[in-house]
Amino acid sequence: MTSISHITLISLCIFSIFCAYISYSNKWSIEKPFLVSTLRCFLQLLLLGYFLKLIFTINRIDLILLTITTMTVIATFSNYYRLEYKVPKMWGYNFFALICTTWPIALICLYLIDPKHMTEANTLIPFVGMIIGNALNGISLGMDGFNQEIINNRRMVVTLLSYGATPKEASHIAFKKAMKLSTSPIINSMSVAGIVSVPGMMTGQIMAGMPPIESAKYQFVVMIAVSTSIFLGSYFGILFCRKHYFKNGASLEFLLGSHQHR
Amino acid sequence: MEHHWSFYLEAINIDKLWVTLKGIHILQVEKFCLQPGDVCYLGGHSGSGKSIFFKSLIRLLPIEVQNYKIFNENAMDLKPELLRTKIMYLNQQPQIPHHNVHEFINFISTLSIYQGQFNQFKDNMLQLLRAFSRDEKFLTLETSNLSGGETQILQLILGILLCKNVLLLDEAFSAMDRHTQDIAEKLVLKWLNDNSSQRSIIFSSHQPELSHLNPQANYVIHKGHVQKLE
Repeated sequence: MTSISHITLISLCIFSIFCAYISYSNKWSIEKPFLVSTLRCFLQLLLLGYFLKLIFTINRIDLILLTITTMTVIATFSNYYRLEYKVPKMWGYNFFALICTTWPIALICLYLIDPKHMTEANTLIPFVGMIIGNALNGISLGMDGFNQEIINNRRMVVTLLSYGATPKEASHIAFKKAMKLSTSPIINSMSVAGIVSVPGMMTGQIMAGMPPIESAKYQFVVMIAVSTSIFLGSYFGILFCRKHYFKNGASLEFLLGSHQHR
Repeated sequence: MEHHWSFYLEAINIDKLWVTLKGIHILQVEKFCLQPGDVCYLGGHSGSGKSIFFKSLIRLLPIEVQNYKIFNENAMDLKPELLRTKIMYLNQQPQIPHHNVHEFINFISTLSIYQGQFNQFKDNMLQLLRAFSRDEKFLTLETSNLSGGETQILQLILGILLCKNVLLLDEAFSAMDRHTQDIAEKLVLKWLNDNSSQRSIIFSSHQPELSHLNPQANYVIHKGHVQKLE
């Protein structure tokens, strides 16, 4: 495959500068975050490239584990700060929701594809990274959606609990809405994959010279891994949140105002 | 025999109860007693903690308590959802989920605590609706279109049908007009008198002097302390 030069990459930034100019001339104030994130994206991806090159050469399992743990921690932080409705210990809930779903699912998928090479750096790190990156949005949407529903509809929750509903019954509507919110984007992208859009990984593989049928199979594995991670990650994340709101069976500490809201 | 028991039983008996938020006691009860068949008025200015007290009684808030018994059963040993069928909290702003009244009632009937025992209530529900000059059409109303008073009527009807022992009325008739409020109070008194050895009421209201619920006991919340008025 033809290598892209650094000069080509930098010259592509003209598109971002053009978008930033439109924002500036219309006073939308998104030019700064637009340019900063373009620069960050460029530097981070380049650094990742050099870092992965090094890790792939060394190819030691402890370094691989350290790398994917660091990726999970950074993903958790990034997710946590994006949440609008926070509850105490939510960072931990987020971390566990991510680690309990993305890691095992990635390992199972890689085992089914090629058990011999599943623990190699150039297989495990990109695959786990891709799943974490995609699962992150869904999980944060789900947890944020649940917290928002519970806090905004606390009078409804109180009404239901007062009639003898269990925490599970009283939070059923919020749980259902949050799960729908978190899984809608991936359900939509799975529904239109191959018709409206050619998914990113498949595009990359085809451009790198892989046969389209093979890359379609790989893309399907990724879609299954991502959708399952989002579904289970959101489920666990929301369960943790529900446990927070209904401590000791069913007491709503947040009614006294001890919940955190950014 | 039942009457004999009621002489010794207390509807509610609390010794030392605290509601704590971030290490600070925001509500304290030294002693709270309520006899079966009694109506108790809970007073206090706005924001004094009346709703917090009611919610702590149904363990909707985290509480620390030395002794809390309801009809001789330790309230802290009961499952919260079971406790809430014995002592039911009706508040001034109930929020009703689901699309219409019928769906909401159906949802309540599917709660695990009422499995297999809700059907008997349906006929009584229509009778209670008629007392408020409402018929079956009320069941088809969208819950989002119910007025504050209608929502309180629905809440009260379910409370009367489902509550076993103690009704906690936290300004539960505040959105009703005077006439509807009279009907509501008569129904609540009828509920009490139907089985007065096993039932009691605690209520708070901004206009207790206009109420038909003549209290036998009066408590007031002052500076976070629940005190009995002699």
